[in-house]
Amino acid sequence: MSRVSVPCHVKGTVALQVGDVRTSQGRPGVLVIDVTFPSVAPFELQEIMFKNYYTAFLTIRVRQHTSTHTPAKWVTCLRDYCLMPDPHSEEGAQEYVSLFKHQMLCDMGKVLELRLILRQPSPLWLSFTVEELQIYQQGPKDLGIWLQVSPTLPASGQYAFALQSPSMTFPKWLSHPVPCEQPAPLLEVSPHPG
Amino acid sequence: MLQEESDLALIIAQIVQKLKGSTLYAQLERQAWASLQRPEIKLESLKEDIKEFFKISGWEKKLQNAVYSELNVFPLPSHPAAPPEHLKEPLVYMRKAQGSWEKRILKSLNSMCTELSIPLARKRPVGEQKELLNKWNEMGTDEPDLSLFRPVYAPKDFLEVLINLRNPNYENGDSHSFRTHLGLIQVPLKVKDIPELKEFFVELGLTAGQLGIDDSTQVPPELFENEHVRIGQKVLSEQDSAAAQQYIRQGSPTALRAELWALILNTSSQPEDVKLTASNDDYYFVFEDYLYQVLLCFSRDTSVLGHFAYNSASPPKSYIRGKLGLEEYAVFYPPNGVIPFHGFSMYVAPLCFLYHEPSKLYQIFREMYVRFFFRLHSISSHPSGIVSLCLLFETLLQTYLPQLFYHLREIGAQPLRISFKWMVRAFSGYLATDQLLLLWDRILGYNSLEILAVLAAAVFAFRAVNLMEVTSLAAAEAVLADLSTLKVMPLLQIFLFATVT
Repeated sequence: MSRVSVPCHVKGTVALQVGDVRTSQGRPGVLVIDVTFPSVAPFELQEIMFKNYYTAFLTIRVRQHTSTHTPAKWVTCLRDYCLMPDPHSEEGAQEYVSLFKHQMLCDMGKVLELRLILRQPSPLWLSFTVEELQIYQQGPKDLGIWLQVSPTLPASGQYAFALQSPSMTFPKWLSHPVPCEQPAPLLEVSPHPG
Repeated sequence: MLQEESDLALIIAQIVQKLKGSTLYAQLERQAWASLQRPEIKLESLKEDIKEFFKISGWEKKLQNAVYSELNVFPLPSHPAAPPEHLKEPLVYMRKAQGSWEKRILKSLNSMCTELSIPLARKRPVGEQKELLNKWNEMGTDEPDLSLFRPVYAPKDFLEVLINLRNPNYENGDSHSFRTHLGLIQVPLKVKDIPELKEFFVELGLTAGQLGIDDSTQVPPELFENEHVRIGQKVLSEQDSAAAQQYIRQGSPTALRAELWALILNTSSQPEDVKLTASNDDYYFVFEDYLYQVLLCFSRDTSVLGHFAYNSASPPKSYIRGKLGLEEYAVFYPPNGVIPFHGFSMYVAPLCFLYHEPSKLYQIFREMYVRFFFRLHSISSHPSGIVSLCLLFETLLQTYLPQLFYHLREIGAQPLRISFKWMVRAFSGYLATDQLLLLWDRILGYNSLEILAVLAAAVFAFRAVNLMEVTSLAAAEAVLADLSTLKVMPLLQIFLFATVT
């Protein structure tokens, strides 16, 4: 589909806790991960993907580019998204998660920086984080016409056209498979991104 | 919402792809071509007419049953970035534990073969083949000398592995916290508590009729039994898998059970072209023969390999001599990838009461195995997996019978040590056969093995008074040695719905 991975720099996690991290007994229940995009202009965020590792709740704040000269402010775009329904048990603890722009509370048109706030209220886990973090932006917006031609064309001819909508993550034609005698080679008209 | 739409479309695509390779697809295609001869099929409305024809002739129902079966058996498509091993088992430490367990079994198997100088796999010489075909129907009476063979492993070896299962990211320290596990299982999997179980097993409640309770001699059949049998016959005539699964939650009448199970498991009515000989003139009940036939064929049935996509276990691979590491020379040993353990035949034995035709018996057993029984001897975090069942049992006992649990722990008789063998064999060989079949009705109806853990806890609750008086593990085992007089459904009903919590 037309989404493009955005190269990002993930800063080290910072634990938020009251008191001295080294001497206090308890484990921090809140971690903050900053994600910057040093070589990329402000972009429209399409999808955030990661593998969870025992994080229970996720909040995301975003700093966007503003056209006026006011300094860019941090806005919460996802609040307390639940990754583990029961923070004390394994459910959801190591799952792959995708978050899309339609799930965000604000428009994600000109993203400069992201801040992920991870929460794990249960004291039972030794550590928690998110791994394999990947950010995607909108790919080239236009066409994506998939042309399917059967090599053994019956007399009436069989062509299947499906206009690919950018918001779907895979082609619509899968829902209405066209019966063919042989598997047909797929000819892509548009250059495949990524 | 956009996300759900694309999820649904992905599921549809997956099911379509799976069904395209099946015999049902070929049959539907053939039927569609044949139907063109029929007068009611008009060229202008071809698609609609054929659809209508399928509906009337019952083929649409068969397709619905196949789709329902796929939805029940295969897990939903996971995240596109998730690798295939994630689908087998999402938790990394469990995958590792399953891998080391498999290595141990293989080592044991290989060393036994080396000791006895028997190659693991070789083609049967022609003379032996002829002999086998001749003796096919009497295999139980003419067994080879198996006295030197040991079972590859016993359930209690497996229990030791489960007891030692640890999550490296979990607080396993000595200090007792609010979540210390007092039982044997030390991994924090999510298990249902009694309110959730009551909701899940709502059809077993006190206000619903049950076979196993409301068909006893004191209860007039007009109250429940007659109507229930009538509905069962209707479900069978409609040939609807989903309806059958819902119906069987209240138990299956004995006369209808074989057909109902076949409908729910969606086994084909065509006798399968399997190695079983077609000429079965003697249908006598020598179960030993059936067991040998079924298990021999099962071990060679490579279609069973398909279930390893969602089983945390992997089939052991071995290489033709001299070609170690070359994939073209890799073979799965045994061919179906399943290494049986001591007592494995107990999964098949109860089915012999239902199915007299070996081909049907085999199909049902294979479906039951790839849907349910494989979960009882592989390490996974699935809610019906043996680890979750053990934890569910211990949690239920600890929460609702704390005095009994504490007492048994104190005398060195951890309850799981006694109930593990019941659950691993799905109670086969421990309950009376009619009670066992009523229990397996519910496994099929709810598509889950959790009822095994609930029954195990219910048995302990039933014998609690005697158990409180014992002072050793051996005495506790003796109290729970004989389950053959137990009635399964009243026990379950009382434990879930009539115990003060």
